[in-house]
Amino acid sequence: MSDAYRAVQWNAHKRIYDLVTALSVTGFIALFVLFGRVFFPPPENVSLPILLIRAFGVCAILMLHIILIIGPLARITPLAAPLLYNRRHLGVSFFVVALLHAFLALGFYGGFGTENPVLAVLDAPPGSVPFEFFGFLALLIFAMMAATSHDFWLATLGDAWWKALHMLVYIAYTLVVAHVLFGALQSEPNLIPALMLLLGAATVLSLHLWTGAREVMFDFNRNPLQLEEDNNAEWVDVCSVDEIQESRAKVVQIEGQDRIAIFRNDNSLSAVTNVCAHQGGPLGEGKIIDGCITCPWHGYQYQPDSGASPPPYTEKISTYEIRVEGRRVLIRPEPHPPGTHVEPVPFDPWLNEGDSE
Amino acid sequence: MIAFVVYVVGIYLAIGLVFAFPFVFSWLNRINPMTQHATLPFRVLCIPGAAILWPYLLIRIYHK
Repeated sequence: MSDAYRAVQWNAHKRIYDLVTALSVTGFIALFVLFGRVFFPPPENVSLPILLIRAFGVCAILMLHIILIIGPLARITPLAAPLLYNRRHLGVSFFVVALLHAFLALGFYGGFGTENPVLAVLDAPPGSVPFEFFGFLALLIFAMMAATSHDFWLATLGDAWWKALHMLVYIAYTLVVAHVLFGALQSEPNLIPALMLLLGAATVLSLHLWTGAREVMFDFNRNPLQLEEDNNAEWVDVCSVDEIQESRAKVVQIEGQDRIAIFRNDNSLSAVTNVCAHQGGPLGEGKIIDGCITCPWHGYQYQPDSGASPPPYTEKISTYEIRVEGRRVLIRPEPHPPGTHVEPVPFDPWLNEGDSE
Repeated sequence: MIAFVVYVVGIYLAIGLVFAFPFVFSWLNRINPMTQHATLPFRVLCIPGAAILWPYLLIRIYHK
């Protein structure tokens, strides 16, 4: 969250996340090299430099696939939300692993001659597919993404441009697939690596298509709550209080409006926009932590009674007028400007429909 | 062709690195006033991004 800029705003979750990532990468590299030594004894013995090049390459591809499916998975199941929370650290770690793969390859395949090692490796023989160049281009894109992953660059470039730059990951992914397809797989007699690459690509593609279709269906086929034709109705009946769990939200769609998240906090209700001010995350899929609405994507927080981030942070989201009649929740569709105070509406959780208070 | 691309990228990044150091240590708050009290690790972290985005940052500083 935007405060005086620091390199990393550490917390316990990020430390655990990064520790698990570091241990997983180290363990994977070690196991890969160990298995290579065990299962490729002389005379098929693969040299240690080549084993390391392959180990870092395979590790990087695995990490890339995990990074790409985290987003769609988080839309399908809340269990994936913790992985989404610190995905940028995972992305930078992936770039470091990919960079090590590139350095090792440049050093081993191009470092012992008189020619520039970069040109020696990237300049493919005539008639051959320049798979090394595909990898080089992908690495440039990943470098740009890693270098601009901090919130400072998001603020400097603006949401639209930052997001557009980071959507280049899909072009980079295609280049990586081509790099492997026309590179390592050409000399691989075993079908398993090719099948695994195909499975990975199919998983990434199908998850994206599936969750994209779900979002389209939610917006257009879920009969958004209609305003009355004469538009004199100030209030729209959106749901029952029983549909909202404590510390969680119910997301509703009113025609012509952004989705609205109705949060329940200590048996009081507040209504805010469902769109996080940071990167547009779905606030309604988050929860109340320490009295604040917490975005499931990156942990940005907002006070439910005002939509303002707790000091010293400055982010704000729109709030909505809300009231409770019996067990029904009503919302006034017009949003207040971001940061506007709206008193949370208490309700009796034990009151049944039809009871008098 | 590939050699040409590699040399262009290399020159671009070399210029970017020359720009990045004065940018992160002197001109950062012209882009974003909230970086006035930014920590040293943060400024170092900004060097790669500045080296990559130097044309855009130069234009932003010029217009400021």
